[in-house]
Amino acid sequence: MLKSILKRLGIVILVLVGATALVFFMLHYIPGETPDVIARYIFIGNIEIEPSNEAVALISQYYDLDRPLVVQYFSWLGEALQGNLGMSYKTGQPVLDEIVIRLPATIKLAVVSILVSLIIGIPLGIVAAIKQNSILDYICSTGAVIGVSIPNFWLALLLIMVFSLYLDLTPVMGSGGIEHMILPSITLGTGMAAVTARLTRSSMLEVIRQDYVRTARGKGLPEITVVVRHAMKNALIPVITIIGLEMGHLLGGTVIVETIFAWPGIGKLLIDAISQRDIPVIQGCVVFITIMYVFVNLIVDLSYSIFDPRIRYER
Amino acid sequence: MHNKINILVICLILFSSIMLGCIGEDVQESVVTSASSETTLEKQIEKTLVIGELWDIRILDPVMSGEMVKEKAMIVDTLVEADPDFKLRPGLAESWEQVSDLQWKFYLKKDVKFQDGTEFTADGVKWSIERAMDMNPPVKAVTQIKSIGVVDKHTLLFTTEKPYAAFPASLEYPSLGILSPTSITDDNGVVTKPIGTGPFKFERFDIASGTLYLLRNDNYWGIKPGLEKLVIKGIPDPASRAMSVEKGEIGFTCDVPYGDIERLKATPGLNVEVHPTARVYQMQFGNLSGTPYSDVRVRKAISYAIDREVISDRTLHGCAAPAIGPVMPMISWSNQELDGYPYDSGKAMQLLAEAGWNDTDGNGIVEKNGEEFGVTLYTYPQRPGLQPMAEAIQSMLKDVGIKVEVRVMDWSAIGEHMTDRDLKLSGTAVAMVPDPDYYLRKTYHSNGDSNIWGYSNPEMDSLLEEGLSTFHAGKRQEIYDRVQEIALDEVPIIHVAYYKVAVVMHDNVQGFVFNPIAHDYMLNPEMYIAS
Repeated sequence: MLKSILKRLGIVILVLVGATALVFFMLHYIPGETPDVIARYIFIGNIEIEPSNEAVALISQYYDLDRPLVVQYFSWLGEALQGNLGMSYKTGQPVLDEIVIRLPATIKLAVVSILVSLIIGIPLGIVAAIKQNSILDYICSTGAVIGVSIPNFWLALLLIMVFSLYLDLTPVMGSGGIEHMILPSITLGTGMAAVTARLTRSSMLEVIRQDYVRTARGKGLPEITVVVRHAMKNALIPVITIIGLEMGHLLGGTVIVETIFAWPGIGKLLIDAISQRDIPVIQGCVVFITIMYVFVNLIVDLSYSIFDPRIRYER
Repeated sequence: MHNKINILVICLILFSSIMLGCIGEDVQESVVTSASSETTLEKQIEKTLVIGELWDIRILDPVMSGEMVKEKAMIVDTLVEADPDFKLRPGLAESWEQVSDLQWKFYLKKDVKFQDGTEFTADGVKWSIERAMDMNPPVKAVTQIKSIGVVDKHTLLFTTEKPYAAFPASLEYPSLGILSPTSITDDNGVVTKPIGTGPFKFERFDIASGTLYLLRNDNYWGIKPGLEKLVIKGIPDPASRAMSVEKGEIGFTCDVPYGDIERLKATPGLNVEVHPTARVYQMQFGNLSGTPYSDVRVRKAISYAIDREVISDRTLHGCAAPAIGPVMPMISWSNQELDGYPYDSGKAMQLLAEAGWNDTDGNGIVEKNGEEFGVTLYTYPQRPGLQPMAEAIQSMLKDVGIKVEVRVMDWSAIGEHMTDRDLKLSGTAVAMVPDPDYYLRKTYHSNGDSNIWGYSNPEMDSLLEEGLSTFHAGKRQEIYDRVQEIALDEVPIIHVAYYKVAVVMHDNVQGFVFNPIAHDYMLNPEMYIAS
């Protein structure tokens, strides 16, 4: 098992090199010349103003953007492997600081959103499964479809209208105390809750028909014990996979929700960096998000073997 | 089984310790203080104004973020300032005089101190301006400074690269806000705690939430500021800004969604003001040669076909004014004699017919030599008025027989898709510095930075060059009057509407004077909160 973990960590390095190279070279296929974009966004602060050729040339020189792409990439990689992710073009601050400063907010929002989605999704899925084809099942399934289909930005604005403006219960936006987390986490959590509910339902339906569940019932165990102790444990394994994927996704940032709630997360940092061609920040974010994904997936994989003893890792 | 659990626990501990390690103490503290500051805010509401800013605040170095540090946070001042009609007035420079075609002497105010008590001297100004030119290449292009000499403690001698009548105006550029050399920088020389001479001084900056806290500068050289504290919060989403000001979380903001303006006007306790700014919505032709636009009658026809009143009042909910010439009338150097192109679809069709464009097959689209007049109008999503405006223009041009397809895409992608026959709608600043040369030369000179459509008129070129080296105000005005006249007559680009910005504030916010020289909005020290 330890070996498989080490193997995984070894792969991380390869994934990192691949992901950063892909992003780096793709950046140059986005329309717009990099130094021109940097001049407009970062130095003039207004995209609509044409920078002079002189300024563009100076910027190109200053950031070594006049070297061949491959050289640029490998010089970045060389620094990065020594732990130096470089400085943001935009702020002149170390990229690591730019990311770290936004981490707490991103992590808090991700964890709370996952909790919201589990608290809503799992009970709904279970109820829908054990009351299959009842009116409750239909309500849950319809609710799940609606939950998946509602766009984040719309739900966010609606929640603000109702809970902040009309009921005056929560702040409109910003970060800080728990009260600031309520609306963003509900916005993110509902969509995921719908996915979780549907998955819980179908996997529960599969498990509940198995022999050992029938045996448990035959033993005369109360239904609640059958469902919670026997069926649910196995039914939740696919759900764990989804939680892992969603966690990875949330740690990579959620641009729309971050923008609407002025939430200082990673997603907006990355998107702004892409539009401004703040290459060191883009690369830093890619490194960070890749590591997060790999770690979360590692934990998810390991947890399978605990929930399901049939899964074992080769020694 | 236990072994597995142990490894999983170790992994989880490792993972969470990485995350917690990243969180660090500073950040935790800053999150807490920003939460508690909101509760104290309610108590101090009478003295503190919270601003809902349009952009994320990430950097406090005026060289990189001049609009924030100078126009919004009011931490730094520039040597030259401008009135709302764009006439120059003294800032930190008491007066200035031209010594020769290339040299300018600036006399600094003597009773000024930086916010930390350091004396304000010519050496400091020289350091500050040279630093800006070093760090921000466009600054050098705007100012044309070749060298800066210190004559005495309060006098500077600037030498420009070439005769440059716009030089004093260029010193109003917000990136040239004067910093004290004692300002605190990080290891890379970027200012993190700016110290200037302005009415408000830096208190602290919460990087994580992008909130800037400012205190009144009691030693300010101008009038005593009316507010004790100023808090500027970056809220990039327009709808969030509208709701925050409605709920009272912020006291002042601007650029809310156009559709929300009427509702906010009707909300008790809110005051909505709509002000013209120095920005114009303009429509550019792909290329003026080798296309239907090479015929000036076609360009005029398109201009006549646009109903600017409808676009300003209906499409943009009153947040624009119909454009006449390239420069809006509130600006002192605008040519007030121009008539523009009032909406006249009949005249437009007549001009198209004269240019050989007729609807011969009766399908509503005009043709010439068997080819239909169909074009794509490109615009970008960053300014909310552009897409509705493009769609309005689409239907107006259809009325005169020009088939238009509207495409909205990121501005940098437009350049790759747009062909010579296409059109582009954009919003452009006409006065990054308060001088006519800035916008007019870029737009109408055959070598202008913006002139990618290839307009070339020798008379225009020589007028614009003459304007650069003409120092007599009256003669200069004559030159630029003529420039605007030709620009309107030859229509190398079409001006559709002048930009207006909606400012929303609470009723008790008083003393705000809108200065259109601002790039978004500009605060002023006279602002106060009425009890």
